[in-house]
Amino acid sequence: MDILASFSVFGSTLLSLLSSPTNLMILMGASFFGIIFGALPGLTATLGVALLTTLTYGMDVNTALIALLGLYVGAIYGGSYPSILINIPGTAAAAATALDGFPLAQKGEGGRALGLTTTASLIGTLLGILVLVIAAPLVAQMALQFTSFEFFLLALFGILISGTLTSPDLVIKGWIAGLIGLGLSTIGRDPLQFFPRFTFDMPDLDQGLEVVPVLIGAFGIPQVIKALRNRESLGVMKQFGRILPEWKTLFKNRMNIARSSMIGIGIGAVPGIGEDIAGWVSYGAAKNTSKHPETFGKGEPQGIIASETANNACIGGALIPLLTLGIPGSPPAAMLLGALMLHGITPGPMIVVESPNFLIEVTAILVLCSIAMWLNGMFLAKQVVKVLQIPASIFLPVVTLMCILGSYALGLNIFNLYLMVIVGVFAYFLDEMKYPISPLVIGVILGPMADESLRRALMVSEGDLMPFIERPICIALISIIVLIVMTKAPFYQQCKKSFFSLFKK
Amino acid sequence: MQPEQLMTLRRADMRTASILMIVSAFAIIESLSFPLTGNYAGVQNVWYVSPALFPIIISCLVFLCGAALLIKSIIFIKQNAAIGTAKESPASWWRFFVLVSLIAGQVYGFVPLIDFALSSFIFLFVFIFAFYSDNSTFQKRIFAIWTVVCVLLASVTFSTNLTDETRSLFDWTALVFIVCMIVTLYKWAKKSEQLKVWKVSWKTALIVTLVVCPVFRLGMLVPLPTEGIVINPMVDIKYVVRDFWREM
Repeated sequence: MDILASFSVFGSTLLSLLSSPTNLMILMGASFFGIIFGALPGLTATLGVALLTTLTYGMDVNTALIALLGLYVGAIYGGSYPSILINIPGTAAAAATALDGFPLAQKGEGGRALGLTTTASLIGTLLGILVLVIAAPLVAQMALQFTSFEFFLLALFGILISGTLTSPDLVIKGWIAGLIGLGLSTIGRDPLQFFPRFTFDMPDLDQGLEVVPVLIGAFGIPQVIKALRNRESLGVMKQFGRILPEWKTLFKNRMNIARSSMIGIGIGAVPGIGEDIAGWVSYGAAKNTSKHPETFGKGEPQGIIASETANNACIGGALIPLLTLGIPGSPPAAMLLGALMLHGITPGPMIVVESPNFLIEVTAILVLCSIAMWLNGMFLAKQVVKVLQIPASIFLPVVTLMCILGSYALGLNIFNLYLMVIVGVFAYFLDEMKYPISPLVIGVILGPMADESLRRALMVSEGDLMPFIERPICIALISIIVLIVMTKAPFYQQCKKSFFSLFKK
Repeated sequence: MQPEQLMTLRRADMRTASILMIVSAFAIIESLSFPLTGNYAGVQNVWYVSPALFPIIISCLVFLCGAALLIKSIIFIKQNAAIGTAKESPASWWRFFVLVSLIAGQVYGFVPLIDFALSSFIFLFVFIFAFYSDNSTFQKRIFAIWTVVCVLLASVTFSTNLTDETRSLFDWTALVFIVCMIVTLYKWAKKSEQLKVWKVSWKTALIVTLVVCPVFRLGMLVPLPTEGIVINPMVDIKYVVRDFWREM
């Protein structure tokens, strides 16, 4: 599709979405609730998207996307509110924002800090979208060359890399979580021969584990248990004045914004890791390149701008592998993948062939979502702060009820509720033992693709494994996988040490 | 992380690794019973198309990772034998049990059997009261009552096939249970001067139930898990009002 045609699709999508008052209401509402979800410690963008998926079931695809992406963008930004006002990050993505946001609020400049985060988030999201619209068609074109061999390795790579990067303790725990996810995906009748695997004669398991109850269980229930068990409560809210965008400060930080956006997009595009890591990395980069690194941690606007630009730029980055390869770039994107599938859209290389306008439509929706986020942030911040004062012990039971309804509403099957509780308690224990949850969920989502691709690939080659090391993309993927595993192996560390000690002598 | 916490974590890792190895060994054995080379549903299998292939690969990898984690944990524990383990407070564990019993009880006990509006109200009321009051005695008492009631309800659900009449009988019993709980919790709250907690709990529970149930059932036309003495009349009223409106 040429550039003019793309612009025309972009413009017509924007116009058609803007001309519907219902869409506008949904957009503003979803963005507002997203900010609340991000702002409330214990709730995340992923859980918000998971719960909203149920409500979008009856909507057409574009309206559903407005709601889901509006909430996603809002939630990533919303995490900065409690970071700045009470020094408790609403989401892990906003943890780095607290380092300079809270000291700024303590100086009585909370409004300024919120203004900077709001506008930095808008710029970050828009730059992410720009890269998405440029890079996605190229990646999709490349992905069209992929065969079953590549898809199997890609799924394996996604799980390994997300396990490696998200594990809070030993890397092997991240891999185990991903493998457990893959293992869970094998429950049910197999996709090629319809043979029942691990169903133990239970008809409810024949269709396999439904993705939505697994996602809600894995992300929602552990958060409710953790927050109430540890008596997480909010601190004393700092007062803030008028929220202003501060264009002058932002202009001074243009290099910082550009660098943070690139970091955010790059990290977002890596499967499984997302906004939280992007925030920290770009904060670190901003500090290292600053002329006054000693001011960081004492209310330095550069720090706030870096982390907020990066975590929102991550959204565009995370959507690149999601839309073009069918591999989610971040945990909320994993949930978004499930939601898209429910609406009959299968992201992947074929999307540019099957629905050539889809990428442009998503871009238009994202632009609207980021503007809605900015408007909500500028004009409704004080209302969001009021919601923040609701105690967790009142809010979280309501969230639990929504989790129950959300898990039930899609399949109208009570078995899904049983599944949600089991997965939830299991995920809670995994979380307590420092296993990351994202690789597990990505494993459940990518498992069927990995299984089918592996067997199809071997069917084509009649059991010959040679194509795995003959095809160029396969070689690249295998090399990366081997490298990831090798670099984490103890003997590699020993070899590295002895190698460098040779030069020291 | 404190050394004691790390030691506790490594001990937990050791146990998890053992469980993982056992489960993956079981999965490998189970997978070997899937058609590997035989004939299934008219399809002649070869090893590379077998439904066992992927589960066997994954189970073997889990087994290997489990073994690596086990070895890593054992080495750490041996090297740091002098370090003690961190213990979590019993109060924290109690809160965990109360939370799990509330959620699991609602899902396995109330939802399949009792009208969803009634079960949502009682769930929210009890849940908010237990944690908003932040009183461990209340939490333990609620845990005991809730567990007994839910076990009874779950045993009815999983052991018998109920007719509509018997279901509505359970709804009425649930209504009586709700009244009893409201009165009991009022007494507890009054005794410990926490009447505000009681008021906030029932008001929030009522408002949320009154918003959520009609929004899902009437607004989004999502059937609720169990519809009985509250939801059914609500749906009937909607259609009566709609017909009346049309006739006007």
